[in-house]
Amino acid sequence: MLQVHTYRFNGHSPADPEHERGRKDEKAWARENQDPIKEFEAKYTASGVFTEDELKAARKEILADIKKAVKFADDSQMPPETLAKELEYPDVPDTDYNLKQPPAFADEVNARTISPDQMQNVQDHIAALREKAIAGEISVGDAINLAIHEEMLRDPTTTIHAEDLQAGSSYDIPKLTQQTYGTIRAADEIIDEGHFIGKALGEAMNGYRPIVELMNTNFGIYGMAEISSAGNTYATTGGQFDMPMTIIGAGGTAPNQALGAEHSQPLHAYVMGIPGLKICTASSPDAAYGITKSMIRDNGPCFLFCPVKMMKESKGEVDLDRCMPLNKAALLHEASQAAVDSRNAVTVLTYLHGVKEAQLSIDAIKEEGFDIDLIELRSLKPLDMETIEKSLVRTNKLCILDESTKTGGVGASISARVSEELFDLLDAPVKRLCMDDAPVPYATTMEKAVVKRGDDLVQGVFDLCTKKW
Amino acid sequence: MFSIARTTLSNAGRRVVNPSMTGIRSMSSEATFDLTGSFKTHNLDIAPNNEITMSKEELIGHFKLMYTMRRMEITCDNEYKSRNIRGFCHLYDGQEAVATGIQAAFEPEDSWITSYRCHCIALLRGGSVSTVLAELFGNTGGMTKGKGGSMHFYSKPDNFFGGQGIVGAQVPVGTGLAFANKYNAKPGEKMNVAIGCYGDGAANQGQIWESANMASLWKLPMIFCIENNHYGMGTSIDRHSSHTDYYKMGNHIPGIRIDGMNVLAVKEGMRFVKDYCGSGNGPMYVEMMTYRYHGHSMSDPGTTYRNREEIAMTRSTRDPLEFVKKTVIDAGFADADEIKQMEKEIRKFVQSEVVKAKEFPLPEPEALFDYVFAKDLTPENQESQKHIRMPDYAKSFWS
Repeated sequence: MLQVHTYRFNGHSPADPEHERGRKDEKAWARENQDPIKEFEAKYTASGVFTEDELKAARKEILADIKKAVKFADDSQMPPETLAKELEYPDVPDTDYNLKQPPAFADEVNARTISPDQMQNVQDHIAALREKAIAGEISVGDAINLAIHEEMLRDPTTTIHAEDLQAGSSYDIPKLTQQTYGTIRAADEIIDEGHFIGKALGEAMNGYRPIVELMNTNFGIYGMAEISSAGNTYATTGGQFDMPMTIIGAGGTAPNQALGAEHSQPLHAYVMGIPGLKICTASSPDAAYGITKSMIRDNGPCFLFCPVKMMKESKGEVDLDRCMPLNKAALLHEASQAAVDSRNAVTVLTYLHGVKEAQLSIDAIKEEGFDIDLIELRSLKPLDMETIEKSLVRTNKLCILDESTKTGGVGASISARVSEELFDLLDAPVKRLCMDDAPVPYATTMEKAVVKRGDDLVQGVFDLCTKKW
Repeated sequence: MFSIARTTLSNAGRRVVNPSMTGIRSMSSEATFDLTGSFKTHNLDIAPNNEITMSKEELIGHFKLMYTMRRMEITCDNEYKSRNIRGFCHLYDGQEAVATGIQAAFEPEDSWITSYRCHCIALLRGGSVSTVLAELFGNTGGMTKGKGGSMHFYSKPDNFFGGQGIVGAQVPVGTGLAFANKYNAKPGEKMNVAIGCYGDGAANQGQIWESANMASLWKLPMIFCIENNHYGMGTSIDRHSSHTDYYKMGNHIPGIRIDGMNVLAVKEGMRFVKDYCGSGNGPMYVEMMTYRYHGHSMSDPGTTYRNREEIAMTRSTRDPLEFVKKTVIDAGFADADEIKQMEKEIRKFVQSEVVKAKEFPLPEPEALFDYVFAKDLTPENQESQKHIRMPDYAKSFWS
């Protein structure tokens, strides 16, 4: 620790009125007795290193330089209006991450840093996971782990941080990373999200690609300042510094999860407004795998949310070795043409646990004589308005099963944009099935009212189609 | 060997003072107990006494309380596995002496805030086995009416401020409690203290250092109490802390390390700490050397990062219940049969409390909106706000 004694002549900033008593005299004393430049001049003229005239000439030269610099700044052009938007992301939203080239030094560095035994071990692990993936039996947590290993081998500058990392954290997301890549590249973190997200910021600015796992996304609230800083880095530095940080966390609010108010908050909603972040959700192994790969390759800060109560779900094929786009929603179920023609089809947007809830309620909806275009909003930001529009053209009715609160939630943002940009396609107000503005209670009977489920969706579709609004 | 062996204080704390010194009689009503080796201090030229005198009633009371805590936590384990308790459940068994000793040294007016590992402190401060369990079962008989669950117990009349869900978040809040206590103190009188309990896993968090700085600057009666059970979730102290003498963490702030498996040492140590902090000397760091038998929570078996031998060894050589039992017997306050009888009664009592807890009704859905806003913000409208959707769809604002 370096403690340097110094003094500032002015206030904290120009806005600081400096009420402190005695500071006026103190400042006068400081300018007289503690001015480093005065001391320098006095010392080196006294010892004969410089003459008064030489210093005078030097001062004159500097003043002229400063004047020139001020003129340069004044005469410089204002930046174009479009620059802010251009500097939002280092990689544009529709980047194809499959085209990104791995670093040339990868094999060499891997050979140097991973022992043959370790390499054999991790390759066996990867092979086993890939087999599971092909059989359609890999869980969400394992799919992310597979993506992480593939990317950490592909690019040795990729690092990973998690609490209890060595023990696999909660869902095996960092499994076998420390045993393969070492204790610094795959680091156990202390229970202080503000600290380790901030640390990842530093790593990212210094040439590395950190992955940060949040054991539960609620804990990300502790790192809001750091997440915000990550989002601002590329633009604020004038595009000088990329911010290739990937944050992955299990979160959301499953119906009846009974985790208490402080573990049921919608962090995905809280970070929506932070500029520069790409925010995605994945509720299935294939999406978790493909999105993780892309996010690690993306040169800006990316945040992947997975549903905390579905981490062990393992349905579906995984498209191995393919990176998924970070700006596309997924149409999981299409309403029949008959339903569309009879005006009984609704576009349903959802994400996280809502995906499972919605899928499980399709039969009940059909029984009522309705049908839905079920769209999983894999990307919350940037939002895939194209896919939404394509569906709305068919149905003209929109229902959002939203795992965030009425006030300030994800559904609120989407609803507003749809009203602004696709108003003519709507035959009904946007129906938002979202969490109530109340702390999520522990007891089941009370919680039922807060977190919306498949039953609510069935009712919502019914109401939209029977003009109940 | 095991990390806990390295940090264990000497065994001296278990000795009862030589009977010839204090005249322990077989029907004695009080005895003096030796506490040598139970304390280590930092930046202090005073220390707790090396012995404590305790009455038979009090010591047996502590035993009974600790045994009740143990049975309650084991019950929680069983009920959780039966899926009657859901969500999070962080058990305190192994650490009973810490809570019991603190309560013994404190006044009811002293403020207490702790983490999510709070069932036993809730029991001490305003709860009963049935109201604690009722809360865990999510029904209306619970201490927070089913709204909070395992991590959110509170009792305003008992100055118990939780029960907090997020690791380390309770410490600045505790500092605020200390501030209020100082502010409210009458001149010339001792201040009520505030204690913030947290684990070794939380101890390095930034806001704790910040709170300690301000507590020291303003000489707040704040006790920073680290319940060092040697594991931050699944990571041992050697792997998460570059400095494991937590009682020295405050630098200039005085600190004391106490054998947290000895309820007598905890009481005497905390008496000393309360006296120091309540007299306006500023905060103190207290490190309780303790252990938890269960994993971090019910979803953690606790054996993927700990040796089973370590857990077994702690149970057989350092268990706080066995220690207080032995102390009671050695002091002649009760014999083994009487203790067995007490244990039997307590087991029966806890079982009856479980039955009682299960009989409370479940909350109504409308109870969701109680206590969301302060009542006097809407004096004309005690019902739920229009914009909050009611479970009955028809009553919702926009339908």
